[in-house]
Amino acid sequence: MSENKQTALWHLDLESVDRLLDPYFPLASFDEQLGLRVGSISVCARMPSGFLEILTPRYNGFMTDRDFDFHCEAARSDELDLSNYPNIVTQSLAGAQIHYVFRWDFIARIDLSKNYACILLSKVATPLCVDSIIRIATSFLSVARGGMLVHSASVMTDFGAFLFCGISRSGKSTVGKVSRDLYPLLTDEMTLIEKSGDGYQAWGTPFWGELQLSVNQSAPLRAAFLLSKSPVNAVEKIPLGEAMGGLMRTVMYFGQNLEVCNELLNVTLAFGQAVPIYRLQFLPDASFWEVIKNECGNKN
Amino acid sequence: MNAETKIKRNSSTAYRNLDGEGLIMNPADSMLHSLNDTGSAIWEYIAETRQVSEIVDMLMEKFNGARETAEKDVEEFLNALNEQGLIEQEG
Repeated sequence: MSENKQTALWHLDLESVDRLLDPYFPLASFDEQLGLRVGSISVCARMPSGFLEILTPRYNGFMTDRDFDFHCEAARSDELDLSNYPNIVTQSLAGAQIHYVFRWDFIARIDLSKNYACILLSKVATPLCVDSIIRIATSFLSVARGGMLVHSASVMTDFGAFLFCGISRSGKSTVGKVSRDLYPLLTDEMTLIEKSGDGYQAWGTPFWGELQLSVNQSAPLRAAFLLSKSPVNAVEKIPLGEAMGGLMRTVMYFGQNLEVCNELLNVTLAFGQAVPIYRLQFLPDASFWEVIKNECGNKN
Repeated sequence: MNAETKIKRNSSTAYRNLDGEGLIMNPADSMLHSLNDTGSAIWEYIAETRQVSEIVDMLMEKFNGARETAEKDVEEFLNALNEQGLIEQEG
């Protein structure tokens, strides 16, 4: 692809992007297919040969072969050179239904109105590109259903599930490591939150982190904690506005237009008004569970 | 920015008011900004284009403060909003 065409794409000439993608999709044939269920969201991915071998071990326990409500298709183009692109850029069309994702190894179009995403892979792309689009599609679908994907460790206790929210290096893996001998871990990296009646359900997802620990289970969410490494253990309920600011930094979402913003704001505000959000200062051991139990244990 | 500068909200931002606490979300970076009473009052006032001097007058009337304090608060606040791309200026 010429530098001029790349420049046009970078400046988000979406008609050019559509003209690039449309000859490849929908796929006339495919080599491999994989089905995934995360919470209530089920995704089917069709892709080139060799992808299943890489992706299947990551999705163990979450795979399904039926009742898909979203489809992804991936095709490779050896002519596609995206090496000048930054890590990831998204552009959403008005109406928050169609989203374009640009990265140094793929271009994708996610159409929520058709429950379909197409991914054009460059010659250097790996099967993990499909995983990236599945995560992004799951994040959009979860918000559309009143939930969200949150960078968090989550733990099931006999007094409810708890969400430990944080960006990279905030201590999510540490929380997971020190908690797993006490309570079952739902996940150490990315939790799916889904609306359930008047409350929310926390689901493990296959988008695991350093501990490579996730289970396909869920539990009613009792509280959320914004993580803060500290020389002491302390838990403090924080005002909604401050809680929203902290939570937003950990929600996985890529849309960048006003409709998308409003949708995400509505979802996170509803969540913050239903689920107590605390700041948790914690030591790198299991002792912080005592302050959590004192604050949240044995309460209805 | 001076007293005659006209200011209004960036129309691409999303805003909510929770019992007097304002929250602004900027789609460009998905950051959420929290406003106190004063900030929320100014933000709601600049839903329409206003001169900086009008914003100061509004603040003085609402909070019964001294002009000098109001001018300083408005200048700091608008500069902060401007740095985040949350407002548009004319003149």
